[in-house]
Amino acid sequence: MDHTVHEMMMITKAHEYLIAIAFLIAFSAFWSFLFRTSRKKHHE
Amino acid sequence: MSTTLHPDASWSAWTRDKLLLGLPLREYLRTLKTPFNAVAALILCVGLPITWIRFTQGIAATTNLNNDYPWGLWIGFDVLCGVALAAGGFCMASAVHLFKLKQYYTLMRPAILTGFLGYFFVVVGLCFDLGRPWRLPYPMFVSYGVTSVMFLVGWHVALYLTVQFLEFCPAIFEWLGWKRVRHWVLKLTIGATVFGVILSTLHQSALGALFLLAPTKVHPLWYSSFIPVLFFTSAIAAGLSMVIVESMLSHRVFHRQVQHEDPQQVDQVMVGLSRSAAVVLFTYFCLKWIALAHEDRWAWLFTSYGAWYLVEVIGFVLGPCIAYFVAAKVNSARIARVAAVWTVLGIVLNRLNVSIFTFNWQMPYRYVPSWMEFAVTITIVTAGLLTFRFMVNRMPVLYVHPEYPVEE
Repeated sequence: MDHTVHEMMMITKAHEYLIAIAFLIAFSAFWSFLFRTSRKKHHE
Repeated sequence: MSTTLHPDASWSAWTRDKLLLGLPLREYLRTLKTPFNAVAALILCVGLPITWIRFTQGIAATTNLNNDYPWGLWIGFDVLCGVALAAGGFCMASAVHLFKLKQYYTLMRPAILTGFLGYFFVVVGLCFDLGRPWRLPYPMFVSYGVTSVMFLVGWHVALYLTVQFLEFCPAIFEWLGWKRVRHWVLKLTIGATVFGVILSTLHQSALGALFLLAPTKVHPLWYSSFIPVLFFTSAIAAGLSMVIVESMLSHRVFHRQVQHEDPQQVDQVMVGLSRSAAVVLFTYFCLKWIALAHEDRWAWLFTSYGAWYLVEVIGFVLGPCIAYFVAAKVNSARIARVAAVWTVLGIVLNRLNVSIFTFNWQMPYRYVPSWMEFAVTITIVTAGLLTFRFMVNRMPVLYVHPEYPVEE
């Protein structure tokens, strides 16, 4: 049952989830940075 | 004393008022002598005889298509790009009618008209490409074929074309002065918009799903089980960008009709759209990489096709996404317009990559469209532009009709 890291990642599709999570975080950052100014203006 | 006009006189007055822009026929014909019309006439003079050849001698006489390459420029550009770029209609209709973003109202009608004409000319393009176009109604009435993606696409395009016509009907009835009918049609607006969103979601993705049927022909970098989602997401970006491009062109070509608009307000609307487009393009960019990871196609990135893939994804997805982001941050409508043109080019590149440039990548020879295929495509685009101009010059598309100031 010796698998390389790459094989384990392929079996579990872990890399796909990791990429999805990374993009989710990037998307949250993108969204908050994009809408930050407009929200401030809105509150003013 | 009765002032009723003779039927001939009233018909002639109606024609002059509604069709000839209030001018006598001779004067109206004189206004048609413009460089644009001269070029359009030249294109039609070439395109119409080719149309005749296509429908009398068949596809082989006019195209370089064969059994290896059954789909070419007419499907790749006219249908795939045409449908994606026509997505602005459902984006704007849902923004205004469902999300009540009234600041986009002035953009809604041109977007719906662009969408309607886009779909109409997609069907025209499809008729050129179908071997037996007269059998187009078969999947609707004769032989359903419910297990085929084609069935889905056929029904959706037909229904959505009808829905867009219904959504555009208020402008037609305002032009004709049919107040009561307009009132009734307006009551269908919300239902038609919801139906339109459902149909668009399904058939934009179904167009992508068509390529799931060709796993050995579509290049591994572009083939993915995510392709329906990718087609749908990119279509939203294309639709929003087309609204900006079309608004930019309308302000140049039909400036008399939009001179009442406050330029600063228009710029603010463009910046608002660029914010949405940035989010959609970023989502699309992420999905592209997740799709690549899902299929484990990383090794392909280090080939020549991989370089081309990176040109598309970084140059024409991430690039315009950053441009839209900057436009939103610095409140620049000019950057938003550049980003819009950039995005439109990017989505066209994507559709052509999937359907033509990398399609049948293992074949020893490539398909190159014949000059007649290009001529037909240019003719269809020209016919679309002429129809758009005809309708915009007559109907309240870019302005609110004075007798119907508030949309119900």
